[in-house]
Amino acid sequence: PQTLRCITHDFNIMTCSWDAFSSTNLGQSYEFCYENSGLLVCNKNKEKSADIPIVHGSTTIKITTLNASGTPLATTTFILPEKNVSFIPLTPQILSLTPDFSTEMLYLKWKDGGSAFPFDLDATWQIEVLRKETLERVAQVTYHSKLTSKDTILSWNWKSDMPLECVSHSVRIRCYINKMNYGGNKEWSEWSPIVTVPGEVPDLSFAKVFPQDRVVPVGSNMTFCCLHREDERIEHIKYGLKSYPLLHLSEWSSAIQVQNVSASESSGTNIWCSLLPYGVEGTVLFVGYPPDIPQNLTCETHTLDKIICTWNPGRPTELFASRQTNYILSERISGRNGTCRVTENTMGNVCVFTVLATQNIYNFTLQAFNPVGQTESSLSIDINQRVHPKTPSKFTVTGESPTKAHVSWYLPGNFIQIKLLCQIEISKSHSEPELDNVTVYGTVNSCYEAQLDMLHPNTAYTFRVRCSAADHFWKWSNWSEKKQWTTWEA
Amino acid sequence: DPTANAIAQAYSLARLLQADATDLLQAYLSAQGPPFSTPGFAVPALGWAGVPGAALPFPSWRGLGDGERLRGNQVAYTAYEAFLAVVADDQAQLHPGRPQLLARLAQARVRVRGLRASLDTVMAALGVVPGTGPPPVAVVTANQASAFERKCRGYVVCREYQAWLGRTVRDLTLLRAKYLA
Repeated sequence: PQTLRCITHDFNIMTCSWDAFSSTNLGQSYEFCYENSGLLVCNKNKEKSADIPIVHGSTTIKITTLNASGTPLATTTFILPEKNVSFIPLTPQILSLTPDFSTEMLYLKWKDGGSAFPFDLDATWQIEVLRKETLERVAQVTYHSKLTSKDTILSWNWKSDMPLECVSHSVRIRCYINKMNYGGNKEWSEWSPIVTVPGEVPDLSFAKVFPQDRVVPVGSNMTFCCLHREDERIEHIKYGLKSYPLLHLSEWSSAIQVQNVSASESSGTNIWCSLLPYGVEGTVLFVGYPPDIPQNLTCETHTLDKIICTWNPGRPTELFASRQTNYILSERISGRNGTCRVTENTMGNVCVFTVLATQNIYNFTLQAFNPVGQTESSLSIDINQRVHPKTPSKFTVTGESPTKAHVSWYLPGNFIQIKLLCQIEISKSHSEPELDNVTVYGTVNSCYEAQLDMLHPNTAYTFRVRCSAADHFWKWSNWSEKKQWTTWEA
Repeated sequence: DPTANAIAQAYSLARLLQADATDLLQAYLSAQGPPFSTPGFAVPALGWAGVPGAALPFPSWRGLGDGERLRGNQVAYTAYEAFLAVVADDQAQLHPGRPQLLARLAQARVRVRGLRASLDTVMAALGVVPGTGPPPVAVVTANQASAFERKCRGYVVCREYQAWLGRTVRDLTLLRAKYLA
């Protein structure tokens, strides 16, 4: 016996193998003896390998070749220092490789085999992603973890730069464990068995060009592939109007790469795969912007029962229909949400929140989100300081005397908790309009009135009224309609 | 003569719809982006299951009887009424910001209904028993199609609808010659 080689997977047991040459190998066996805790241990084996406990320092191993009848033929004694025993972790096993075709992500899970070691160890993993039947490496990643004397399931995910349907993707992993105080050689484990996620197969595939109906931000780099049957060939693949060089992926799949895509028109950018002898397949890419931070967020109330929030959506996203920006208005104190209505021209966006009887302060957050991003704005208000009454209606004028008139109007709203400042404009020809300010308490029936005096007798006047909150002015209502009135003769 | 009047009215309506159909196809293609919107776009090989094709070899077309001819029209426009609705839904989903196209599609549906009624009148005048065509396939697969397939479907519907109106005008021209002479 010669060239003894010993490796260990767990620093506990080493597996030794050797060479032995003789004219006939028929019926040969081997006896191997070693010392373990002062005792001489001997075993017999058919193969030229043996499992031997590792001891600190060096191990003396005597190996004897025996013929079929057990007669010793040759004996060799090996002195094996610990440093000659290579430590190679066990070959890792992949538990699962799960694709998410919609996000082009691969999700890998594997067991770290920590239970093989009764102590913590730093482990380094190498993960390779291979593409196509030819297993071309497209990614190699190093991943670090800590083995903690029990088996832990590790996970890692990877985003492909190409739709997973286009071609098969495979993954393999290997491990390196760096036990600092181990004197022997430390090596990478074997690669795990490969696990493969097959790409789409043309005949069974419902769609032929991938990705289908994707929504991406402006500036993205995209790969589109076209799958065709064996009796077909790709004439060209166009992105919009432009043809791109074909990248061969497999016998039935070719791709194009488009860099830095710009915003698409409303119906999306067409990717057109023209097939020979004849046939057309395609997909549509929707390219747009994430929503802008909602600007000039304003929340006010017209009637103190509903809060109306409006905002400027900012930069158009170039995304429409089901891809357009949606909004959620949430209020942090009450934890409630408003209801929002989004319109195509986006300037008509509005959210409505019901006023709560017991709450004056409202902390609003307006979230904007579309398929390529989200953002938000916040606003805190005291609702009593954001009263913007509606236009006064049913404005009427009645006479009381040659110099007095009585005006009344209707102002919808639940204003009983506040005072209103109303302004009556008094105009007559050939003179500047005068403004008469009156403060009124909010009423239950929304009807209000005021008296105008020191008018000129037998004079044609025009009156109109508008209102606002008295204590915390926010906005005037619109003016009511005008009313003409001629005072009585003196 | 009621038969002659019915045929004449159907013929005028078909001519009107034929002009509309040409504009509809152009409006549709220009809204889909290139290559659909490029001048002269045409992919004759592109079809869609269930969309009635108008193409018929001349001898076969010429040999059709009045009843067969009219029933063929009736079945086709029953399908087109449904398909035009599917295309309108598709376009509303793709880009609602194109009211003119949606309006044209809605108008086409209304006018197809009018043409069918007019054809029914002709069939009644000629004593032709209405046919029962296969239910339109479109509605069943309406929302499973991808955006690209919806664009292609709309193209095929508008293209074949235009072709069918051409055939209907030719059909009614034959009937005019026969019954209005």
